[in-house]
Amino acid sequence: MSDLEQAWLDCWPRALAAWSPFTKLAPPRFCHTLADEVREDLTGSFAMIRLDDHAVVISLRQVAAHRLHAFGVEILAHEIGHHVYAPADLRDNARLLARVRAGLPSRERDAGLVANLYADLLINDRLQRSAGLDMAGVYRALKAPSADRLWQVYLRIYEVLWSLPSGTLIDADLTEEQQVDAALAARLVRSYARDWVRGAGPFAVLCLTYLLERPDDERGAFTPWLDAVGAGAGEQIPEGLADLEDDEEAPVHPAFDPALGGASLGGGETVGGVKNQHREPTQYVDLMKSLGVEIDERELVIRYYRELAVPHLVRFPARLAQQAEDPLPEGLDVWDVGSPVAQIDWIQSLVRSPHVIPGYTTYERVYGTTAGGQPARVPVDLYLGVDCSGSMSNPKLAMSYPVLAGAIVTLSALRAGARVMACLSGEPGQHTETDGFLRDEKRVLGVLTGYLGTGYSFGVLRLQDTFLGPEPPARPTHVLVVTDADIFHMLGQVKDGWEIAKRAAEVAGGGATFVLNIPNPAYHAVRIERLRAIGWDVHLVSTQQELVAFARAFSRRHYEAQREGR
Amino acid sequence: MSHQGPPLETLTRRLAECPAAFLAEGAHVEAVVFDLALDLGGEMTRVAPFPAEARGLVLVAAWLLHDPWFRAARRFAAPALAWLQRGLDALARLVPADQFVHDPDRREELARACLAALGLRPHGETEAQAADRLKTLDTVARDRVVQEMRTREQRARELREAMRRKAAEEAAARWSPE
Repeated sequence: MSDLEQAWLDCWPRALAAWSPFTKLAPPRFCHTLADEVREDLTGSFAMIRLDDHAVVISLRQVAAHRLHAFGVEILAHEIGHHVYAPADLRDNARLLARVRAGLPSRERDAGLVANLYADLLINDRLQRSAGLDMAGVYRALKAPSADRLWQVYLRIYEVLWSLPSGTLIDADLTEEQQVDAALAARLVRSYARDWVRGAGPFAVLCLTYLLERPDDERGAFTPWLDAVGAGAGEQIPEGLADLEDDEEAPVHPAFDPALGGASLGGGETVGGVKNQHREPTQYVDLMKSLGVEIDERELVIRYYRELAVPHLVRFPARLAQQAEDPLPEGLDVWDVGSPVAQIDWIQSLVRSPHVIPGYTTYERVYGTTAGGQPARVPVDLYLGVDCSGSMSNPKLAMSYPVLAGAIVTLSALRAGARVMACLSGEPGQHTETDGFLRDEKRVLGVLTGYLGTGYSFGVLRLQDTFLGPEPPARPTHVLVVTDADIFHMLGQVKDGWEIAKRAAEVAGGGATFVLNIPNPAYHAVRIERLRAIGWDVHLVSTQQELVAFARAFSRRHYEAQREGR
Repeated sequence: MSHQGPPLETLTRRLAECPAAFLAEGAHVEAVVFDLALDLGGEMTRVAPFPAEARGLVLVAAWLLHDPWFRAARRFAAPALAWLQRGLDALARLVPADQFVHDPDRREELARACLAALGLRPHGETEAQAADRLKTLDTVARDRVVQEMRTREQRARELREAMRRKAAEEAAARWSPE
């Protein structure tokens, strides 16, 4: 271990204590050579953090080259600050980046840079003022002339924050506008220190003017300081990003942000409320990519609809069977590593051998069954048919309410223990469906979030294939088809179309529902009644947004019916 | 700013402790300023009425100038009166008076502006440092620049909206029906 490494390790407890006496974090990883840095993905900067494994990585090689030996506590405390203050975790990192991106139209690729600068300002100001660390000293040590106007403003912000004379951290003649921007940004950093995510958008707008003067991907003077641009990279998808937060869209320049108070700085802009409640799928995918999430785009779209569906989940209908079965212990069997850990009978395992070797000395109890007195709930399987003809929008481009409604019902069904078969159909033309009834959420949602854009309606022959073929579903199934008025044309055009629909509802055994998006139901009144007469429930919606409310009510209605024993 | 004044912290603390009565409406501002002028070593003189929008800030500034350091010097009556009469109008139009009590930046700005008006600089600072910091906090100067920025910012905002739409269209074009 080098003297420098030992000295910086000795600084670690003080750096942790700068935030709180109770802060705990794994010790930093030190890189001594370029090869070490490459192994840790440390490029350009002399330090970095990773949120997914809570790592702090320091290049002692670059610390020595920049003559920063004396700033061990400052630099380590700064890196710790990224873990405990800004951005602190993957979700807040994603929220930060989302707001920064909203403030950087056409320069979204610089969102990582701007987010990093903003988080650094918050952290350094806290450490300089509250922890008494010499953060200014670090910048003074690396002081160099620069023609980069954003870099000039950035360092001037620190001078304003810490009441340092102009020229302490940057030798440059700043324009009046740069001076004002620095003063505004300093005020923003203080004003939003607690609710820091909300300040990110206005800060990005302030930076945009200067970014537009710079060449693409030019990081220049910022390079050594960019320690958190890849903080969110990895295979984890942060939760809760499908929804938009209030005032996230269209952030305003700090000069026109009333939240900054102080002076009456004019009314050129006002902070608007949220317009949409959710991101569009393309925005969601772009955000995840900018975070460095290494997951296929199609899977991200599935995740998007899943996130939007989760708040709406309710229990899926279950049918009462005559009798349930009570478990009857029948002895022990070797617990295999593929089985749930919770099934291990630890007492019996340790009685057999004090040395635990998974799969060899681990045992689980085996149960038989005996007839019980309580009725059991049998979940009804779900057949979900979704019209994916030319009249439906591509769920990858814009939020699709039929897909969201399908996701709500699907996830409810799976949660209740049912199996689901999904079928997208745009016929005449194409269809795609799962390979039978599945418990695999990803495969079902994968089909749902696909897109065909062919034909004019859901194909009634799909019901024939599934329910009237040689192997109809063995378990009671509810057939749910989401389509529009064109289904009547389909039922009339296909040979025995109405008869197929009637028999499919009978064979399914768990009920059948058509959800029809029809703006003028009176015009189709006769056909709607005919559907009801052949055993289908018909639910009418006049807008696609109503499908979400239907999806919730669908589960609730059936569940309540079962509870009443009907 | 050629002479050293009191430490800045004593002035900002005094502002933070400004009694509520100085922020209340209906106070007789001219009488307060008259008494202040006497306490600062001035002679009995007629105080011209203050404009309505400046009265609140004048009261807060009068509280600041009543600091023992200024009173003990007994030589600041004339510049103090001049500052109260003519130096606060622009600032009063931009910032509510209570901000100079409750906001740390505005407290520092008023304290520094007061010292500068009396030809003083904060204790322990050079003239350059004092001028630099006052310039940084100068609300009136900042407002002038912001007013100039407004037109430019409006254009930039429209540009941002256009770029946002274009980016959304480009993102949409990446996907094609499978």
